[in-house]
Amino acid sequence: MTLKDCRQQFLSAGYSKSEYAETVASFGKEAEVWVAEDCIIVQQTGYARFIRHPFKGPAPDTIVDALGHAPPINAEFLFYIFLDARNCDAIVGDLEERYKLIANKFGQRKANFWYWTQTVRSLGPLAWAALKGGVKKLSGLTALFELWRRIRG
Amino acid sequence: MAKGDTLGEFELLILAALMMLGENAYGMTVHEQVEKLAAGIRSVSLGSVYTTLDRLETKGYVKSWFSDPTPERGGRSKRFFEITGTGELAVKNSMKLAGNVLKGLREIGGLA
Repeated sequence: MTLKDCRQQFLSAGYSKSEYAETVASFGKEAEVWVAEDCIIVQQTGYARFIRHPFKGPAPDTIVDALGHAPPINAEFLFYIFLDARNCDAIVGDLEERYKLIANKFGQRKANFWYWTQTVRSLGPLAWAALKGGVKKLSGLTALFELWRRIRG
Repeated sequence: MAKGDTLGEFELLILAALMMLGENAYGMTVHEQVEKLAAGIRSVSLGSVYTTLDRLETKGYVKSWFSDPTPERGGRSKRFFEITGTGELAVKNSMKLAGNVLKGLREIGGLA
């Protein structure tokens, strides 16, 4: 979706040009702002997030599908500890996609259990990978420091 | 085959899943396919699938790209994966190795 499309969607949803300009200005020039049913979505460099609607009252904290199924918590913040924004976007999107399928087929209770289990089990490997990456970066820095020390010495 | 070209069990599972899925290989479909392949042997989390895919990409066995965000996923994008030629070669080498081991064990009646 282009910025022009976003603006068009925003205006066709009944908002004025000044309201659109005000919303975009509050999130920076790079942001794309588009309208969902109950909230607006701000997309920055490929990462989309749901925010409180400035003109229509509170936005839902989580994404709710047609049957009203929503993940138990927004697990995004947990994944953000170990992943960059784009990968976090992809993994949370995958979890929510499957969550809705399970909720529609087996009910929300099973879907909640699955979501929690996957979130908790996924954090272990992600944390370990992040730790290993950190150690590698640190050892690289140590090597550079040693090189610098020897050149000076 | 150079030393270090063989794949781990989980890496092999993921590369096989990518070969089976073709163009529809993104996080969740890869996870589902790997779960099917490993059914009854081991359980698989989405996080371990992603970290292994990252490792395989670093090795040059896999390439990935992000799709545009879609409203169906709440404005989130998908990360698609594809196996590279080097990745396919690594799978073939691993299968050949497994075949040799199987043949050797059968010859001595180890799997009777």
